[in-house]
Amino acid sequence: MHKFSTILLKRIFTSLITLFLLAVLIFILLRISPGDPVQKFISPKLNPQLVEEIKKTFLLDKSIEEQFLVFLKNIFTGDFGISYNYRLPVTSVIADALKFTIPFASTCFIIQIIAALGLLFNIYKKRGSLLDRVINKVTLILYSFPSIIIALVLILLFALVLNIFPSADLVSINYSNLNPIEKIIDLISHLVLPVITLSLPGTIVFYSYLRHNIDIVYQQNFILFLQASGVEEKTIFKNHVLPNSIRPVISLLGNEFGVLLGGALITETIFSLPGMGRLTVNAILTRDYPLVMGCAIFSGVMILLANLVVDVYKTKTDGRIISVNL
Amino acid sequence: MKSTFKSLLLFTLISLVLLSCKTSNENKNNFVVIGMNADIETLNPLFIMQESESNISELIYLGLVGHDWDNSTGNVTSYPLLAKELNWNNDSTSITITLNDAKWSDGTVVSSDDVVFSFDLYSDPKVQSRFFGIFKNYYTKPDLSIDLQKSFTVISQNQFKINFIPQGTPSYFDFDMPIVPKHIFTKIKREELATSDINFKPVGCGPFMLETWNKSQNIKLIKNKKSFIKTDESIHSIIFKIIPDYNSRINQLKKGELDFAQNIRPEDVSGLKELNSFNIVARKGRIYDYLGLNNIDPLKSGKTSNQYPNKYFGNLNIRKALALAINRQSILKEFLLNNGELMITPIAPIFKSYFDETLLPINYNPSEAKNILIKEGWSDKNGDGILEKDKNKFSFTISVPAGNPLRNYSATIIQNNLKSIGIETKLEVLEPNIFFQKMFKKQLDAWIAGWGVPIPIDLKPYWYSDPQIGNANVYSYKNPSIDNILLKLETKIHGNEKSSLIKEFQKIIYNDQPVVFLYWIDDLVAVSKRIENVQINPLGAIQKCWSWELSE
Repeated sequence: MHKFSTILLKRIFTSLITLFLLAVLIFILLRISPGDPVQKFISPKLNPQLVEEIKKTFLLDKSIEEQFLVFLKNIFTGDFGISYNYRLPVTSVIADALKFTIPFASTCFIIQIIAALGLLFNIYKKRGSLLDRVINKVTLILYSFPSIIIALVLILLFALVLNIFPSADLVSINYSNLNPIEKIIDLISHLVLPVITLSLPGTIVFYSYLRHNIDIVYQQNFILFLQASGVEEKTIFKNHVLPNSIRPVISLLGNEFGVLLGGALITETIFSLPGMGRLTVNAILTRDYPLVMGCAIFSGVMILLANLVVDVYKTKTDGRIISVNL
Repeated sequence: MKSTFKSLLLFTLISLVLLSCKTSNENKNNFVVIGMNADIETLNPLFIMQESESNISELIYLGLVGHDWDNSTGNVTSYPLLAKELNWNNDSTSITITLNDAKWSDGTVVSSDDVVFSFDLYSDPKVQSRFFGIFKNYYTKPDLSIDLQKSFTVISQNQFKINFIPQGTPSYFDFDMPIVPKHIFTKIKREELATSDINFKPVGCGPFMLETWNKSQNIKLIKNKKSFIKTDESIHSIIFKIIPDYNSRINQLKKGELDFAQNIRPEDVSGLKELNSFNIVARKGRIYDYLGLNNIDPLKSGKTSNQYPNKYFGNLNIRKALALAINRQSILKEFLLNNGELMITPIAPIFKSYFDETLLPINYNPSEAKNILIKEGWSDKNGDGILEKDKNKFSFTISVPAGNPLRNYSATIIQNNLKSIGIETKLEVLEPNIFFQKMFKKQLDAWIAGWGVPIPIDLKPYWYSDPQIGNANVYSYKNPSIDNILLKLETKIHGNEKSSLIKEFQKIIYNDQPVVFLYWIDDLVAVSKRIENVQINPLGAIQKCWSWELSE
C-alpha cells in the first residue's frame, strides 16, 4: 500500500508539473503567434480610439512579461479571467459547454466499448473465418473515412432520404412543450446520428486492437494448456483471453476518454451541437486568449486525469507494475 | 445473452424510429424559425458589433427613429419609432422629440431621462460602446463624451430637445441608437456593463422580448404584449437557430425546419426554388469584393514615415492595365451565377440619386492591358512568359482570407488572367485574423477582400488619404481632389450639391482605379412563402418583424 501511494503521489506531482508547463507553453505560443484579439474592433464604422481603450481593458497594452505575471497569479487562484468574446468568466463559459460535452462524450465512450465488445463476442469463435476477414477489411475502410464524410452520409440517408432522425440540433424547437418522456425521446433521437459519427472511429480502433490482442493471447501456452485440460471455450475466452487482451487497450481507453472530453469539432459543427470542440476552435480563431487558455488547460487536465485513473487501475490490478516502477 | 442483447438493440432502434417520427410534427402556426451561422455575443445595444446581433437586439430595444428604403430614389427615409413626434428647428441645429407612451417590459414608463442616459452611456469612454467617438454633431468634451448639459434639454418626462453644434450636419442617423432603461443600467458600474447579466437578460420596450437563450443553440423571442407597437395579427415568436454548418442550414430549409436564411449560395437557389415553398430575394448593393493593390511599397514605407510608391501599383496606368486584364464577368457568371453586377466605383447603382450612369464597367480586354504594360516599359526579353523591367520581374503575391470560396475562386481566375499577359502571381491563403491584421497594417502587396457599404454613405474612412482619418484606406490611396470632396461632403450642403460631389468622386476614382473593383454581390435570402409582409431591401433582411404574419 505504501509502495502504491508513493507511486500515486509521484504521478500526481508530475501531472501537475506537466499541466503547468502546458499552460506556460500555450501562453507563449498565443502571444508570439500572429493575429490580434482586438481585430474585430478595427473597423471603418468604429472610432480608432475604441481599440486603444479595449486593449487597456484586456491588459494587452502591458508588456508580455507583465501579462505573464498576471497570468501566473491568476492560474494559481484558478481564475482564467474574462472571455474577450463572451464577456463572461472563462470558467462559466466552459461550464456551459461541459453541460453538453460531458454526457455526450461519456455516452460515446460507453457505446464504443459496448459496440467493440459486442462485435468481438460475436466474432471470437469464428476467428480466421471469411466473416472475420470481411469485418477486418470493412472496419479498415470505415476507419479511413473522415468523420465529416461519415456525418454527411448519415445525414443524407437517415435525415433527408428516410427522414427518420433529425439532421442537426440538440433538441426540437418545441422541446419545452413536451412531456418528460417525449423530452427524453426527442433528445435521444437528435443524438443518434452524432453519437454514431463520433463513436464509429473509436469503436473500430478498440475492436481492431482487441481483435489483434486476442490472436496473440490465443497463441500463448497457457491457453493451449486450458484447452487441452478440457475447459469450456466460453470460459477460456471470458476468464483468460479477454482479461489478458484488454489490459493493453486500457491505456488507449483512458486517452480516448480524455480526448473526447476535449470536444469534437467536426461532429459539433455539422450537427450544431454546443460543445467544447466548437468553443475551443472559435476561441482560437478569434484569439480569445483567456478562453483558449481555459479550454487548453481543461483539455490537458482531462487527458492527464484519464491517464492517471487508467494507470492507477493498472497498477492496482497488476502487481508487476509496482515492482517495475520501484 | 447474445440473443437478449440483439433483441434489446433491435427494440431500441425500432422504438427510436417510431417515436422520432412522432416528435417531428411541430405546430408551426405561430412562430418563425430563422437560421444563423453563429451565436451572438450580446444583446446589449452598447456592445453589438455584428449585423446578426443588431437584427435581434433592435426587436427588443427600440431607437427613437426607424428607417425605410425608398427604391425609386435609392434614399433612406426615416420615421418616428419610439418617438411620436419629431420637430426640427429652422436651421436644423436642434430637434424637439416627443416620446410615445411606451413602457419597458418590467412595466416602467420610458422617459426622456432614459434617452439622455443612453446617449451618455454610448459616448462614455469607460463604457467602450460601439458608438464611442462618433457623436461629431453633438457638443462633446475633450474625452469625446457628449456634453449632456449643452446637448440635451429635458422639457418634460416624455419630451426633450437635442441641440447640435452650429457647424454640424445632423441627420436622423445621429440619434437612431437603441434606447436603454436608465433604472436598470444605472445600477451597474459603467466599467462592468460589458460583463454584466444585462447583456443576456435584456429589458426592452420593443415589440419582442427574450424568452430563452440557449447558448450555441437558439434564441427565442416572444411578443411583448406591453409594447406600444400593436401586433395583434403578427407572429407570436421568432426563433433564431444557430447552425454553423452551411450545408446543415440548407438541409433544414429543405426539410421545412427553417423558414428564413441569408447568404444562400447561388448554386443552391434552383434546388430551393424547386421546392416551391420559398421566395429567394436578392439584397443588392451592400457588399462588394475588390482586388486590393497597395499603392505604396509595404517594405520600404513600413520602416519610415515616408510613403514610397509601390513599384507596380503606384503607377495609375499599371492599375488600369490590371483592371482590363481581369475577366470579372466570367467570375460573376460562373461562380455567382449572375447574382450580382460588375462594379464600377464604390457607389452602388442602388443609390440612384448618387450613382453616375455615364461611367461604364471596364470590359475585359487583355490585349489593351498588355499594350499599356509595354508602353510602361514592361517586356518579356528572356522569353520565360513573365514581363520584366529594369531587371525586375512583374511578380507579386495575392493574399486571400481562408474559408471564402468566392475569393478563392476569384484568386485562381485572376492568377490565370494575369499570367496570360505576362504577370506572375503567387497565391497566399491566410487565416482571416492574420489576413486582416496584415491588411490593416498595409503589409500586403495585393489581396482580395470586400467591404460592406454603410448607410448612410460614408466614404471618408475608405478613401481619405490621412491614415488617422481614413483608417480603412488600406491601399494608401492618395488624391487631394478626393480629400477635398470628402471634406466638402461633411459641410452643410444641399441635396443636389451632394449628388454632384459624389458623382465627381466617382469620376476621379474611376480614372485613378486605386484598386480593381470586382463586383457587387447579392445577399440571397430564402424566405418561406408562409411568411407575409417581409421587407428585404438594402437596409436589411430581418427588419420590422412585428409586421410579419403567417398565411393560412
